[in-house]
Amino acid sequence: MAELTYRDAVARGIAQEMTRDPDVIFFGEDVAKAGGVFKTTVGLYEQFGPKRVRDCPISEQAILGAAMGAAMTGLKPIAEIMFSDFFAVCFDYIANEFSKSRYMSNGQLKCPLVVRTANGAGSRFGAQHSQSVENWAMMIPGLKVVAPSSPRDVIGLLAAAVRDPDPVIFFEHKSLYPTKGDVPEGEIVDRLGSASIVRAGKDATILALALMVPRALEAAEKLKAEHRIDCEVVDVRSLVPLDTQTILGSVARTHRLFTVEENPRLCGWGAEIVSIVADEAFYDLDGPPVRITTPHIPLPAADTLEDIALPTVDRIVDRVRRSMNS
Amino acid sequence: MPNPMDSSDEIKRMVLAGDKIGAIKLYRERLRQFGIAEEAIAAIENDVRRRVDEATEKCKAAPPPPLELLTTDVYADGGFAWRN
Repeated sequence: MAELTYRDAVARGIAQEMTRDPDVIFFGEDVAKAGGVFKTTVGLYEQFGPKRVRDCPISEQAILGAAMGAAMTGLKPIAEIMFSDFFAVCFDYIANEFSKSRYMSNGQLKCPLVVRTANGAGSRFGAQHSQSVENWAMMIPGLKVVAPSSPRDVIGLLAAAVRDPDPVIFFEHKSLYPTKGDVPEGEIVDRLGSASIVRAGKDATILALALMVPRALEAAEKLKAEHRIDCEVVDVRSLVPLDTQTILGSVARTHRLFTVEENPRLCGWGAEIVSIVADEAFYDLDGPPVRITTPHIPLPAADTLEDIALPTVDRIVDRVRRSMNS
Repeated sequence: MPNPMDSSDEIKRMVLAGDKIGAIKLYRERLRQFGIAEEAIAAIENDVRRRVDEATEKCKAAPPPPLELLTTDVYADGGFAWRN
């Protein structure tokens, strides 16, 4: 077991898969010689050479078009889109092309590719470089969508994404890059479509994703210590496929549901989960499900404003406490 | 006068070198070839630098924005309401 940053886990995860499978290639803007603008891919160019690790022109469409072509003709590309906000300029490939090619070709075409991207807020990058856009990917049939919260999950879920036969959108969180966690030695391979109960509790279920996982955990500790509310925290990890068994199982035990979402409120992943719980576990609930989200706003660049826009530990504690009448 | 859109060796070299300010350097050279005096170009550059520096210092010295700004001007009515 060694301590690794989330940032270094990205490079280790890619290296693990490139070492195992010579068909895995990796490319994006400034990812090779510069090691990535967030320094997530340092050393891969030196280790695997210019044929398998490539810098691309500043054209997100070209990057995803190349990834799609490579995947259709037998390779397993990992493409990087530097900021997830830039999905908007290459959305045709994401929404219309590689997500639908299997279906439209009656199963003849396959696109086993991974799009890695830096998602989320907290770095004062403003409204066009800070968004949480998991729902842009989640809503498209044919895509799989994961968002790890720990270094170990980065490696394990990236391996699962690379080995998956479908296109996978892999959301890394910018504000988690410097965080550290224990990572075992050797190969790590996880499973898509599995949520993880990161804190057991009996009074309420809190669902969270990516940067909101550590905040939900901190809020759960405060709720226990200060209000004697014992929360179960579930790291959703994978939005498609979605581990509804773990979620419904937790709600069946705690009878209360809260979601903590970084995305602006409308059509966030929590809305989908709340609708599933309302449909399939309504009589397990002792109170209305509550979504804690960023408001319906573009994200501000000013630190004081960005800090209060996202769900904070205090806001989570306050919302859960008020809802539980404590 | 070189055409910046052609694939001259100089442009190729800058692209290959990953020279991020290549375009600005090229345009500066182009202005000189148009007959703009070196002092005039330098004056523009200095003015730009000064304005950026001043704006930066002004921002750093300014108080933080009021919290209401968070939800201001999402829509034309000045707010962020999306439901009744």
